[in-house]
Amino acid sequence: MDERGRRFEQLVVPHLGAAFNLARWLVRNDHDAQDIVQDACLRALRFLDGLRGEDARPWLLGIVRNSTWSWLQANRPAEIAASDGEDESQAPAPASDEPETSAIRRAEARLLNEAITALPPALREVIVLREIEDLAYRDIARIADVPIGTVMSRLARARRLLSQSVKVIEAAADRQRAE
Amino acid sequence: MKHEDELRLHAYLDGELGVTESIAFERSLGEDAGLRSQLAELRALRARIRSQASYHEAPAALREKLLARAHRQAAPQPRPLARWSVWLAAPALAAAVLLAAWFAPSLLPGFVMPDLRVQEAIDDHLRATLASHWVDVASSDRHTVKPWLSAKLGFSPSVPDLSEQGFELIGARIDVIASESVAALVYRRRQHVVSVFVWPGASAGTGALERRGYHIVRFERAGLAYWAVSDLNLSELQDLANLIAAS
Repeated sequence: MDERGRRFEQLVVPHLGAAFNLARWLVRNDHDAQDIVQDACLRALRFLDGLRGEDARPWLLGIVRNSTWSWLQANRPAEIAASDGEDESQAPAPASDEPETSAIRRAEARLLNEAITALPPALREVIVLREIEDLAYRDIARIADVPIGTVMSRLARARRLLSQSVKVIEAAADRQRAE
Repeated sequence: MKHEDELRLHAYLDGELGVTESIAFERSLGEDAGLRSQLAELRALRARIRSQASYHEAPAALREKLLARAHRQAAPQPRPLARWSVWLAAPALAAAVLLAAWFAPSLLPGFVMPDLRVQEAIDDHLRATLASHWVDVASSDRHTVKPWLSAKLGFSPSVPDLSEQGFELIGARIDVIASESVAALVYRRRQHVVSVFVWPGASAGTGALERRGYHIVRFERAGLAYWAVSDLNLSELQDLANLIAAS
C-alpha cells in the first residue's frame, strides 16, 4: 500500500528544509517561496519513480531550482536579465550605516545577509548551495544545470563581491566600536 | 592573479582538489605569502557566512500539507491489471534470465559498469583541469604525439591535425580508467579543453551522454574506443568526434 507516499516521506521530506532555504534565498519572501516549494515537491512526487539509486538531495534541489527560476522569469524578468553574472558588477553596498550600538554583531549579520541578497541570483544560488548547504561542485553543477567550470567561476566571483562587502561591514563595525 | 590560479585557490578551500593537486598547492602556499593571506581571507569569509547568514526554515504547515497530499495521492491507485501482471511477469522474467546468461561474461570481475567508467572519465578530465596539468607531452605536432603514445601504451590512437577545423591539438597524457592505462588526446576549442580518452577494445556504449555538466561522445574506430569529454557544447564536441572517426 501507499508505497509512493512512503518513498516521498523518506526521500523528499528530509530535504524540505534545504529546498525551502534555497527558494527563499532566491525569491526573498516566505509566501512565494512556500508556493514554489510546494509545487516543486508535488512535481517531485510525480517523478519519484525516476529516482533510482541517486542522491535525492541534489535531485530535489534541481527541481526546486528550476521551479524557482521559472517563477523569477515570469514574475521578475528584470532581475534575471541582469543576473548571468557575466558583468563584473559592483560589490553590493550594505544599505544601512547605523546599526544599533548595543548589537553590533546583529547589525553585522544583517548587513551580511543584505550583501548576499544583493548578489545577482546566479551568484547567490552558488553561495547558498556551497556555503550554507555545503554541497560539492558536482552537485551544484547538476542543480544549476551548468558545467562545473561555470560553478567555479561564479563561486569565485560571488566570493570576491562578498569580500568587498565584508570590508565595508567591518569598517562600519569599527566605527561603531570607536564611538 | 590568473583566473586558473584563483579557481584552484577556491577549489582547495572547498576540498575539491585531488590529493596530488592539494600537495602541489600546499607547496605553493608555503612559498607565497600573498596566496596564504588570500586563503585566510576566504576562510574568514566562509566562517562569517556560516555563522551569520540566515537559514530559512521550512514552515511546519508546508511539511504537513505535502505529507497529506503525498499519502492521499498515493493511496487509492486502482490496479485493474494487477492479476494480469503475473502472466506478464513470467515471460519477462524468462527474458531477463536469458539476457543475463548472454551477458554473463561481462559480469565477471574486471568488467566495469559503464557509469563508473563515465564517472572516472569525467574525474580524470576534471583533475587535469584543476591541476592545469593537461598534457604529459605538449605538442601541436601529431607526429610527436602519436609515437609518444604508442611507445608508452602499446597501441596507437588516431591523432589527426584538426587545426583547420578549429580544434587545436595541445598534446597528450596518460590517464587511468577502470584500472587500465588509457591515452588522453587533448584538443582546445576556444577556451574549452577536450580530453579524448582512447583504449583498445569495445567502447562500453556509443553515442552522447551528459553528466555533471560535462558532455561525453563515445565511438569506436579501428578496434579502439574513443571517448571525448568536455564542457564544450554537444554539437561541437560531436563535430570533433566525427572528425576523428573519419580521420
